[in-house]
Amino acid sequence: MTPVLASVLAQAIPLGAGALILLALRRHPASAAMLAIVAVAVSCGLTLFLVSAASAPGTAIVAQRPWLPLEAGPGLIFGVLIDPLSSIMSLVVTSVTLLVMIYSLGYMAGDKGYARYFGLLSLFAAAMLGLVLASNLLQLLVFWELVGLASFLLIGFWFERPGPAAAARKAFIMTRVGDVGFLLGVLLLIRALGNVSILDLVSQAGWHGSLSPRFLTMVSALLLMGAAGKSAQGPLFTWLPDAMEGPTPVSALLHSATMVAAGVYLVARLHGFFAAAPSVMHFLLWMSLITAVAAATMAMVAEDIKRVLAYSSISQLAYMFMALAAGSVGAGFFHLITHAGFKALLFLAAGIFIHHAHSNSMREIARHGRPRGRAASFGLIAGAAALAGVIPFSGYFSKEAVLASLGPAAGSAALILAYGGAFLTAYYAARMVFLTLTHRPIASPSHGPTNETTLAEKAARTMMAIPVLLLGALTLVLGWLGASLALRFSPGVAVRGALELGAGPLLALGLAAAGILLAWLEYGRAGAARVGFVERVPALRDFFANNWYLDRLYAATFVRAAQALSRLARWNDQRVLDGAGDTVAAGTVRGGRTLSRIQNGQVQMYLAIIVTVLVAFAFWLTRAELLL
Amino acid sequence: MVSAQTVLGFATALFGIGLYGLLQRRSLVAMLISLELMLAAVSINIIALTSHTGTDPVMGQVVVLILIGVAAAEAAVALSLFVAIHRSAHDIDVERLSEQQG
Amino acid sequence: MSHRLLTLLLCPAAGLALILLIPGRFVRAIRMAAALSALAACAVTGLIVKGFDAHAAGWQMVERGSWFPEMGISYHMGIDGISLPLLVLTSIVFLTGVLVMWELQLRVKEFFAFMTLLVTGVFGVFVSLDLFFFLFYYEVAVLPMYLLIAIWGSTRKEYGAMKLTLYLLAGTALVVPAILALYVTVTPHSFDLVEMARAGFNPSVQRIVFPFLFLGFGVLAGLWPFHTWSPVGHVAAPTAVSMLHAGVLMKLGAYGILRVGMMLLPEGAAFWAPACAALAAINIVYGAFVALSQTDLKFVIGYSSVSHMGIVLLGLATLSVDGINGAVMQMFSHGIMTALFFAAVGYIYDRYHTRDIGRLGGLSRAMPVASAFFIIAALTGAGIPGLASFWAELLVFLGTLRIWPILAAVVIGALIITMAYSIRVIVLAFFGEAHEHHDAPDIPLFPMLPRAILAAVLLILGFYPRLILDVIDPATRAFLAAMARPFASL
Repeated sequence: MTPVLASVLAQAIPLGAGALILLALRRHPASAAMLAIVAVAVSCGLTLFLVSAASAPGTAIVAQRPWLPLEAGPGLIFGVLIDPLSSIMSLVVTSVTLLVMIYSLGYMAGDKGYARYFGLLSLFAAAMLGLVLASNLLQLLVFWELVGLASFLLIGFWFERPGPAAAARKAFIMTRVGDVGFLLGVLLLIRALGNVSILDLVSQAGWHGSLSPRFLTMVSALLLMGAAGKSAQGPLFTWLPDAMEGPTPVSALLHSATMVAAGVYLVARLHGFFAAAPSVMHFLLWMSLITAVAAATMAMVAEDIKRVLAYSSISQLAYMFMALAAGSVGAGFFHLITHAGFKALLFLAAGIFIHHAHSNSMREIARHGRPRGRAASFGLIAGAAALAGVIPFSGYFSKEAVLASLGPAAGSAALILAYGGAFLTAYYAARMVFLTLTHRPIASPSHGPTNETTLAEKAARTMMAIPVLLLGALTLVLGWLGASLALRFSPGVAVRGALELGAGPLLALGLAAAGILLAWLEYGRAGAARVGFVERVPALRDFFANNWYLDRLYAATFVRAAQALSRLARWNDQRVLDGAGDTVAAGTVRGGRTLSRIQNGQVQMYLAIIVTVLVAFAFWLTRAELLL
Repeated sequence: MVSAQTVLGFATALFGIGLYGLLQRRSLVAMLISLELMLAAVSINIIALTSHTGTDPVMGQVVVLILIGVAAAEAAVALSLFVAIHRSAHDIDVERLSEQQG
Repeated sequence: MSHRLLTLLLCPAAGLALILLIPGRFVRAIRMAAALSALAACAVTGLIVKGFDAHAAGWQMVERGSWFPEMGISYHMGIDGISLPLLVLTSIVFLTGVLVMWELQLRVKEFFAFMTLLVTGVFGVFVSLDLFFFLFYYEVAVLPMYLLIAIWGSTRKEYGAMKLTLYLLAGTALVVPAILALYVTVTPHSFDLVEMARAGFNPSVQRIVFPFLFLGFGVLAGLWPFHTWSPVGHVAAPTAVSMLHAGVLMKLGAYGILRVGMMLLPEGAAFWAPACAALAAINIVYGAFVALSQTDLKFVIGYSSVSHMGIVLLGLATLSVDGINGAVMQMFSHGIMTALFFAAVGYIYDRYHTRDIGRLGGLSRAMPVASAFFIIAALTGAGIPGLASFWAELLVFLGTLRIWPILAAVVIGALIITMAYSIRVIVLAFFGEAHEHHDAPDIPLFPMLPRAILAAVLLILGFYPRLILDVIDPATRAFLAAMARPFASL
């Protein structure tokens, strides 16, 4: 099998499975789930093959065919691009999807939309694979939108409830704001270059020197808008916390390997292109620094475990962007991979707690006590440790790489923000663990173990535990891959070896330890007040808990303005345009009424008019003759 | 011989009186009488013009004689119609008879 | 000469004759006759597609003969890659329209008679190469609309029908004098489009006449500010008529601008292009904003049509390959999309007797399949890739961006509003809690068929746009090459 065929099949099989499930298997949940899992498993195998086929740095296997005729040139050419970056990313996508699907067998058991769920999940994976393997920027945009569509449908999976429906709507429209910029940027590039092959863009072949720096800056900024929307960065982040309304496994997928990772992937994919616009990269660096810290502050006060994780996603994605902006694809992508692992782990583990307690609130979960089996607790602790950057969990290595990539060139303010963010991360990660796991039963524990003994429930528990344990093991393994990854992506750029302890890592470790210690003092130790230092200041707490009031700002400005314009246009349509038309019509009718008075059937009247006209006409004739 | 101008002037006056009557009166009978006046004016015109310009003045007189006959027949038909209308509507006022609302 | 185009015209015409011959009480037979004529039209269209050579230049399947030589009127039909997709569109909408109206009970005979008459007119416009017949068929297509809406319609049907008819006739009143002026100007006097284009017109004449044609045909295409008839008309019309109307009839206007305005008056078109583009951009943005605050499903669709037809007009105004390719493809995909929209809404309205977004809600739970059709159409309208409109809009935007970058940026920015109103409708009407209609059945197999055909077309073209663009593109290039020829007869 050739890599090209494998890459096409890897996309087509989940797509076909998803379509088949949605069209034909909606009434057969068990076979739908089986089909989806088999399809993604096959796809996973194929992507594994791709990784081995494109293991050497600098490999790029491309197969394309013309897709859309354009005014000039060969038109748009679509195809697949297999290189280390895309193959590893696609492996991440398929493996996380596979684990999430297995987990969902248990988590979603008995849901009304079971089959639909698996169908949509397959489509989601297929769309993300299409995005990852695209060889053309417009093709990437196509799948980019499809990823957005799939996540819209999955966030709004429980569409009867008002919460998910509103969240899905918000997510789709907000990411669209970014996508409009993306589309405009791609169209500008097409206008300038004819075709937008990713390889040509990255290698700067064919356009180096011919495009003005101003143009490059503008296009890069526009493309970045798309990435920011998708990855919930900067001012466009507010949809992601709300997207928690979807089923927890969907959140796991959405936050780790698919939806939000797409933005990071885009910037990593086009890094060679973005490098031509240093001012945009500089802007990106600062935007991600601010986003990282801002999201961390929001995570510090969230009560809902999924919201904590959502804010942590925003914050960690910002770290990835930071590395990319600083010029290190290797570090950014490394963090993307480790984050995919531990974030999926965190969500899946949190899902078990939520499943058990039927609540998202961390304090509520703690009240309900631990679910049976240790998998969830271990998963949560391992994931949180990775998130906090504790050695030897994967997050430590990748965050180290990110912080190292910043280097002294970034300036001390940037470094303070980046390391400060790391401290806050450790703090809220530990806070989450302590709040969730320190068992403070208030309700009597009598309803605990007795009522979950059926075979199906046991099977469901097992299904949910397996992926958690696997991912937990991965957090211990993934970190050691850093060096080899860095070699594949940034040949020539040295990334610090895994266990090389210098001032930077020591500082980061120290900050992480300090964060955890602070969290322990406030939440963990026996007799702790379980109130954080931020929560003691109500104004600050409210500010953080309400997304820095950005939602309200948008509602008061953009949403309001759009609604007002809409009402204005509608009023104009009904009153001015239709009003004018109706007035003309009514005037015609009135005029007809008036004129019809002389049309009264009186012969004498008619005769009088005829005679008058004739006489007038005769006079006119004679006058004309006289004038001649 | 009377000048053509005088005769034509007389005929025009007669025609004008008839036209006025036709437009002014609301009674069908009065309108018919006015119509007859106009017809008479036309007849006078024909006789006058043929006697002054025509090659054969007798032709004009013949035409007018036929006209008088036709007018008599027309008057008979019209009057019988009026009688019928009066029988059904008990009225011969054209305004009151009108059914069309402008 | 195989007379395929004539045969195509005869399909609905023969259907009309057959329907007229069957006594009104044989409802089944009348339906079958209508379906038969629609199927025949589809089959003949299939033959035409098969016989069409996308790479050959010029007119194909030309049929011509003498008709009234003294007046310069001739029997002249022919198609190119621009009219072919529209023929396919008409056939599809005709067939699905008949199937959608299968359950009709009121005056079945008259309904299908008018419908076949209308389709005859539409086919006639798309194949005519003689302006006299072009106008004749144009009126044949427009006039049955009044009766179809006034008799079988719903909400404010008399008002809607009258408004529509008056606006369209006002458009015709602009078109006819313009065409007569061209007829008088050209020597020898002729109505033959091809000959008129070959003879060419004085640039100053072109500049005066073009606005008449653009505005006159533009009324039918829903051009701002003469668009208000269209949402009202759509709301009032019965399902199949809305489908035909938004799906096909509005395309007649755009097609008229292209085939008469731009082909005969290239200089005039070039002169007025910025103004036309500005109006079209207003269409796009304005239509989207109005759609955002509508509460009736059909009004949302009506204003989305206004917005989407703006994209067609904008593409035409660019006078470039990308723009016109996109415009023609948009005509096709928008036709299919609105047909699907109205078919989906029609089913919902028949069950619940309301189209009010606030009173619906949660429909996806009650009837997932019927809702899915509407959602597919809405997503097409929102320009989601994988559905046909995406490519068409992309090409139009690209063509615009090449000439008027700022305008393109504005119009692309309006995509946010487009998305907002599409998602708003989906979320409010189909998501959320189901109201009182838990017991309503989902769409059965037979009514599903026409809707599934339309959805399938959207998906297929969405994944592989070259199916249609390979036909349009050579024709567009030939069309623009002919337009670029300088006026030489002076």
